[in-house]
Amino acid sequence: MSVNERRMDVLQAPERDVSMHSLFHDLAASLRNPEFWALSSWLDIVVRNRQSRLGIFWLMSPALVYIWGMGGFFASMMHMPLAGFVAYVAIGYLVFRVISSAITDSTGAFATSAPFILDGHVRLTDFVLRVIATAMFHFIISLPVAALALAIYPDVHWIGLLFSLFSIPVVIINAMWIGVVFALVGARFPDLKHLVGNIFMFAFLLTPIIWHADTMPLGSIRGTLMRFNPFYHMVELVRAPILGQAIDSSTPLYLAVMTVGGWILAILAYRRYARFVPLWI
Amino acid sequence: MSASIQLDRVSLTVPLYVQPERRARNWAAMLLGAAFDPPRRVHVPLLDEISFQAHEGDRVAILGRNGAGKSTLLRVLNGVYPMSSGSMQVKGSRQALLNMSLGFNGEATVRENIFLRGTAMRLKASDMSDKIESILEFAGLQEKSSHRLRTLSTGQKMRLGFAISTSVRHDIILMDEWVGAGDSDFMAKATERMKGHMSGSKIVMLASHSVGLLRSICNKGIVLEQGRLVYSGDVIPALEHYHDLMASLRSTVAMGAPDASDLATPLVYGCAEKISFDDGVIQLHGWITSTNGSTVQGVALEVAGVRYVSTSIVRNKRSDVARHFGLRDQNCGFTASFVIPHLTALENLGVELRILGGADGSSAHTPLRVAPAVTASVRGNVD
Repeated sequence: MSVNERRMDVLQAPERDVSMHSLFHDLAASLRNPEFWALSSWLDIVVRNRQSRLGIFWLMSPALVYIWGMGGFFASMMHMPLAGFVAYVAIGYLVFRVISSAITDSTGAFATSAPFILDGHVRLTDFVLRVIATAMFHFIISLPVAALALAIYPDVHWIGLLFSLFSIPVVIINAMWIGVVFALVGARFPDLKHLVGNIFMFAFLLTPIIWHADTMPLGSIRGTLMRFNPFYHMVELVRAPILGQAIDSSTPLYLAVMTVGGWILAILAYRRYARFVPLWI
Repeated sequence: MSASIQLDRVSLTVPLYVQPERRARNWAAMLLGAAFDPPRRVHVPLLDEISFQAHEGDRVAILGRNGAGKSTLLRVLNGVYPMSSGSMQVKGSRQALLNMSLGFNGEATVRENIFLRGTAMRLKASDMSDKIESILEFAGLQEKSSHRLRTLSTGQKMRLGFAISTSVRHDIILMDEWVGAGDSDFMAKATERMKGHMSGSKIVMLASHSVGLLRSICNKGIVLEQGRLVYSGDVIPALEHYHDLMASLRSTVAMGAPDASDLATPLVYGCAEKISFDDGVIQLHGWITSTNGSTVQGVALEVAGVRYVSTSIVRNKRSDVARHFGLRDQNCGFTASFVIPHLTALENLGVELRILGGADGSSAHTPLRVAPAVTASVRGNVD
């Protein structure tokens, strides 16, 4: 054995910290050992745009197109002042994007990580966190574009901006249970990915992002439909305080029920089905 | 902490979805059937009540045909597949070396991928940074460390995967059919490392069809057939069982039974032990056999790229070889004669000499191991 060989062999492998039954146990272990999911999601993102000079600034382009392109277009179409409307679109778009990419990416999360899972990396929460981390990286990278929109908004509520320190974690906590559930279902039914992809066009239009929520009054059918939409409540929770608008009275209750109910669902689903995932993928 | 594996009546049954068979009369019916026939759910037992124990120092060979459940068993042992019933206790850290080329990011650099694979194996990033250089060195990829992984050849990726996977020590190593990873130079290095790596670990479970490799590493063996454990014990009786199994399968195939897929291309292995040259005839002594126990009749020499098939071959009894590999057929030895025109001495064969084996002379393509005595004779330094 050469000197090199000996030096390489000194590392003793750590024991596994995984249960595949308890979501909390695995999630806590994943959060304690963030190296794998943080690195792999970061690599996925930065590596994609290496070929171009713009590099990581490419990642801002979707936000630019949606917020300034689409926002500007709809503002002029509906004869609204640009300064007021793009900030509305910006926050709505960012929050919607976090949840929607959590759902669409998590449906294929286990299948795309099959090599890792089948090789013995069975702490499945790592792969869910990888999806959430990717969504958050995109969120953070789009912030400058949104900040520009807020800068021209005439009446930013600083207290409301402070409130986002509470509201954005609520969105992330919800994104997590959604990620767990959709990842499990997506592993069992690979077709889900296509279905979800198709539904999102509709969900985007159903959520008040490029139109104002107050055009849908409470009593109307469309208003009721909108208030069933979970995206609406999450977007509202973040957006309304910043722009100085009132949160719909049903939103806190809706979100509380959804968060608790969703987590219970995720815990039960994980306990029952997580160990079958390697067989499905 | 001591490492051990205990399996008690472990079964794994999985639901599979199969398309109903139907005799399509034309291509349109077949296409429609493929689109609209609902798949049927059937339960397939992959492992059936498997019990065995492995303790520290055990090097267990897992034998069996393709599809007998070898890889499935390794995945159950690795904690990837859940058991349907039974109980399993595994003590000690384990690492599976099932497929070495997977789990990479093609667009990232080689160096970044080493970090990625390392963290996937639960290593700390700080521990990884010291090892990067030695991993690159072992894989022979120092100059490529900042290249994109995509630009590497398949062989280079395999080498990299191997170097990373074996850079950490584990109590238990689970290995599946370890196929050739690159050129012969690297293979020699890799085999050396593998042996060192295994000697540092407490338990090794190795699934392979290569009897030579299994025999040189393992001291215990288990034989699987259709998900059932048919033998467990020392490696030589296990190999005998395996050869019996293959032989009985061959006889059923001869009677017209289907399922000949495994037997179509048996692996030939053997060794050339002695070579002599007398009166214009080369006499080559050695032994040759195959994984399914069928008789192998062909030996050929390749001299400077030209093949010479033996003019005659005589089988003889080699009980020492049969004992070593657990063969049922004692007649695995051979003496083959070759006539090579214009040859005056063995030294003229040149160092490029290759000795090949196969089912018959024309299909002899598998290189046999060449004993040092043969090399010495060909080089001319006989003592």
